[in-house]
Amino acid sequence: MVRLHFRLPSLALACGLLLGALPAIAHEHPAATPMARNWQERLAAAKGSAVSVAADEQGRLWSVDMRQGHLWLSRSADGGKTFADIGKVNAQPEAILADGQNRPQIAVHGQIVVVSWSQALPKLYSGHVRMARSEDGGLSFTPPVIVNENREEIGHGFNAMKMDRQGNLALAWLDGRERNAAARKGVKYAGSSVYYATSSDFGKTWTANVKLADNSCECCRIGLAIGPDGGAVAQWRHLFAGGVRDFATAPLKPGAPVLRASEDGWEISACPHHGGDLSIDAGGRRHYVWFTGSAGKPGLFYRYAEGAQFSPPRAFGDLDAQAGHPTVFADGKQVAVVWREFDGRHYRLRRMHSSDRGETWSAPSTVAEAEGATDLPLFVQGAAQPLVAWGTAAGVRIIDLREVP
Amino acid sequence: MGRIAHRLACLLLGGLAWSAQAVEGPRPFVVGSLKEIQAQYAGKPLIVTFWSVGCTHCPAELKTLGALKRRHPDLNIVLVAADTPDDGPETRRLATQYGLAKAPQWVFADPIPERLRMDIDRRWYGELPRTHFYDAGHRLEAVSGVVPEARLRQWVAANLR
Repeated sequence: MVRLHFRLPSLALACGLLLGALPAIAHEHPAATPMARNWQERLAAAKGSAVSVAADEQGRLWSVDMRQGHLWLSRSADGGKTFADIGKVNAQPEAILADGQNRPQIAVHGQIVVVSWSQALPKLYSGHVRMARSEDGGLSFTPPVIVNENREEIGHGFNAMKMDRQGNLALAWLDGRERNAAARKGVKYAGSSVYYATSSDFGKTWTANVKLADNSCECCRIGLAIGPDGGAVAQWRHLFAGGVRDFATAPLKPGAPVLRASEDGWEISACPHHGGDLSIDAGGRRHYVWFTGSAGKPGLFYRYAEGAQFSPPRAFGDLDAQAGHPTVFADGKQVAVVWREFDGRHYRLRRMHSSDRGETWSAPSTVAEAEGATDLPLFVQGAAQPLVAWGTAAGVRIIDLREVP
Repeated sequence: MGRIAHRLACLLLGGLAWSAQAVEGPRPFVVGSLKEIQAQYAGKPLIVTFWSVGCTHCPAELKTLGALKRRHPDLNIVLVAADTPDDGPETRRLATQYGLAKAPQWVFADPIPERLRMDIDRRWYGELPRTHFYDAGHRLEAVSGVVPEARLRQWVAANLR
């Protein structure tokens, strides 16, 4: 069982990884400021609190977690009750960010294992998106490559990765190159930008880096899903005019239009560290979940979309129980939404369910509780069933929603 | 021992005592700490700022608060870092840089930040900075994100005589 070490999640820690929001600080000596020293400490973290889990085409579960600068690949032979180490993904240790919104990603098919992660660089809030691949079930990996073609020591991170059974892989991340280029010209640039690369051969070959959008929020995880046509769609917190940090969405296609995915009007000069999620059903309907702190209507919301048509947002979760970090899984007409709440003593996972593609929903119910600190819940990448992976102080738990009344 | 040497020794000792006090970590913030802070400032206007060492948006607000504190020494500001007790020395150094060395300082001391947030304000989801404005009657106005300087000045003008 992979045990987790939780450092009290300091919300803003990862925040700047793409930032350059404080160029004066960022250009000083790596350890010259308390913020920079804090970053150095984070670079030296012995363990990540995030464990990422993927299912292969047979339904076997695989996980990666960070220990002493290595990502360790593990596999479960008992449906996720226990995981046994297979080996290291990266032979040479490096500073790897593996908690909260910024976490390693894994996808598996047959003997192919693809892992991507954010490597932290010495300069404050800078990093590279890295990837390694195995064709022998994780016994050996290619040396890690840097995915971002821009190699400046600036922010590249918060990578999200998804793969389907046909070998379509999508990798999207937040990238500071546009901001940095603007700064060099003395131009102000709001937020960061979203970049991506895709593969159609299980990650053997990849497209060049493509910019999906300018002006993303700097430190919220990206929602990413692959549709029935093999095309991926991303959802991210965007920085709209007036400092409004609502969500946007776009397919990972060059020149594709960016659509506004929420109209919450959350004007905030801060990093919310609270990304959303999306899933695409077999009919191509996109299902979105997200959090907003907007004064008018804060909380968690669900909506679906087809093309540019969006359903009205539907609120869920208990606002007085710190409801947050929603994740969504769509399969046929079934849609499951899971999020985390805190009842004053324990964290609990809450679930609501739709059997008609998101038109009507069950009342929320509790599917799991945990003692101590917990990670955010995420549906298992690549699983055909609604399996939720939830990191707790006692290890990562796999919850099969079909088995929970 | 001559008088000068004696004075020097006193100065040195005093200095040591002072610096020991200066590097003392912030107080651990637990459930109930906010009530304690409020009780301490009962009947007085108060700003409680929640921030963290790694928060990139926080310095802008803390610098403004530091400048306001210089101009209005009787302005009550309490800093609560949403970090860990291990980060105490860094939060103190940073607060000093922002001109807030004398502001009472606290640091989150609970592995479950949600537990503290529920005690502070159920509807706070962790965004930083987070500012609590309490008027003399301790009516609360809570703001997530950097509070614009003009708004801070306005509040000071309205609440400080």
